[in-house]
Amino acid sequence: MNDPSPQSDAALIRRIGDGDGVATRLVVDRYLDRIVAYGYRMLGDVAEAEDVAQEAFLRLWRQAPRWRADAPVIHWLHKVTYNLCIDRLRKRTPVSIETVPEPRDSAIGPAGEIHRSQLSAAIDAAIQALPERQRAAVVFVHQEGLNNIQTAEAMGVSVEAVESLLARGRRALRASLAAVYAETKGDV
Amino acid sequence: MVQDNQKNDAELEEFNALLRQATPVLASPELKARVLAAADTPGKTTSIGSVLHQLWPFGSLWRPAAGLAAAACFGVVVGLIGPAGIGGSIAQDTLPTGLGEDVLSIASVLTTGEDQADDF
Repeated sequence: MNDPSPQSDAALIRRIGDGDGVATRLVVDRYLDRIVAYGYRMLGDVAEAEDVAQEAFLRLWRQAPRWRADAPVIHWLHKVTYNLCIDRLRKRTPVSIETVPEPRDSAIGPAGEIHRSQLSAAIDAAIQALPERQRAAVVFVHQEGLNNIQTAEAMGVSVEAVESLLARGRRALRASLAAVYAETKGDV
Repeated sequence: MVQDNQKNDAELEEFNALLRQATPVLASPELKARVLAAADTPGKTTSIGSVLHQLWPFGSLWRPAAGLAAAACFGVVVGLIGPAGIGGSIAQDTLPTGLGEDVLSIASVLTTGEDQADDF
């Protein structure tokens, strides 16, 4: 994903700091959907994802007058959203793995019978079943399009740790989505 | 080596394609409205800095603040020490003595004049 340069973002954020409504709307239109989507992948709940996105943007508005142009806004938002999601996940009571819906088994019927909504549900469930840090790394890289270095910065870990999290996350997803994966592989 | 890289790229592309089929989630219009409304509030609540900047738009604030504090200290010191010393010296030394001497010298001149008039 091509993100705007830190300098162009900084100019936009400076305008927001000066109370420019057009710049505010531009930033919201550009990034809010991505942040909500990331929150949803991490938390598995739309309402919680929206709460997290709102808090992240509120922090951005507060930060606007003191904004420094050392990173694109989306990277800052990713980092804040990741930390907010991790805080929420740690406050949750532990959920048994059995409460996560099972992806559909390929043995139940032919692959062609799996409808799109079931496919989405199976992928959502498989992502939710990943440990939180593996999930964060997989979503950053495969859905948000970040590279390993950017993901490491957002998560506050080393690049090697990200590579390890990605490898384990992909392996787990491949195992739980064996049927879906095979079907997708056939389509591509 | 090249084959490994190609295999890795192909696997990553397959993974991206797979995960892109997950449910797309978009921000609701209500959330957009809340976020846009919140953009006005921080400017109003954190406006102390901007108000100070409007009062002193020439850079850091510590210089005028230090100048103001020094002037205030000087004013307090002068207020406590100065008026009592000056007032005391005027009241006790200068005014009564000087005025008394002047009055006495004028009186002596006048009395001398009266004596001379009596001689005529």
